[in-house]
Amino acid sequence: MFWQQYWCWLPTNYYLQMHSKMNKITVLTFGAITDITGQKNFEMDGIDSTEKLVETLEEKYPLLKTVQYAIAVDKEVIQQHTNLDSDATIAILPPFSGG
Amino acid sequence: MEIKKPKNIFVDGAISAAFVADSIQKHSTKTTIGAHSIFLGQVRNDIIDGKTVSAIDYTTYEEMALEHMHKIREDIFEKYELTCMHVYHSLGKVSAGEISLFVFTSSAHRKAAIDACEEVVERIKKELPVWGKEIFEDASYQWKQNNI
Repeated sequence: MFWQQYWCWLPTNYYLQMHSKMNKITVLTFGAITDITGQKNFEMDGIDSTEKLVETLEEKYPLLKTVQYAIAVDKEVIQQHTNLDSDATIAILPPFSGG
Repeated sequence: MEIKKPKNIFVDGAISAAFVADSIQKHSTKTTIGAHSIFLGQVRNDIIDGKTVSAIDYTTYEEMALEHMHKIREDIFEKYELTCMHVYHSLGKVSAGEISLFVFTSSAHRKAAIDACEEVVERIKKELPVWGKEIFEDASYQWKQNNI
């Protein structure tokens, strides 16, 4: 973006850059989950934990409450809720059915 | 059938019998091998609520699947005395009667090849982020569920 490249010496822009970076995560969905969300991947702002992510997604897509899924943070399936770094990639994974 | 890139387990569409035969043939130069074990997964035309499955459309989270397959491979080579191991899984549409999974293990003696092959198949079904969409003859679908 223009201001990031040329205006970064402004303290306010350091703040803006940090702020926007810290909050942006990418969400990937697959299989039956994509049927519910209607989109395969999207970005979300202001999500700092998987708990917050689940809460936000289930509010937006109530059908998610009715299906099983696991969550992978940067390709690792998590066993319990975790904090999310900036730029994290979160995958919502329905039960596997390969083979 | 085309392999998407080197060291990738995924292939577009069904796995042909000719490909399986060719894989076996390629091992004739490896003369320390005394046993091969092969698993072939075939798409079954299940009848669900009166509707017949005509094909399965496979999708994956490719990056995660390949990383995890690498881990499975390392675990298996650590656990069993294998000479080699090859895994191919279909992506996209595979019709009933066609092959969608090919696991091929080779060892000096049969037990390692057989046990490793079985364990790899079980782990693929349980741990790889791959999804099968069962497509019925009337073009409706449901998401497949594996029996664990």
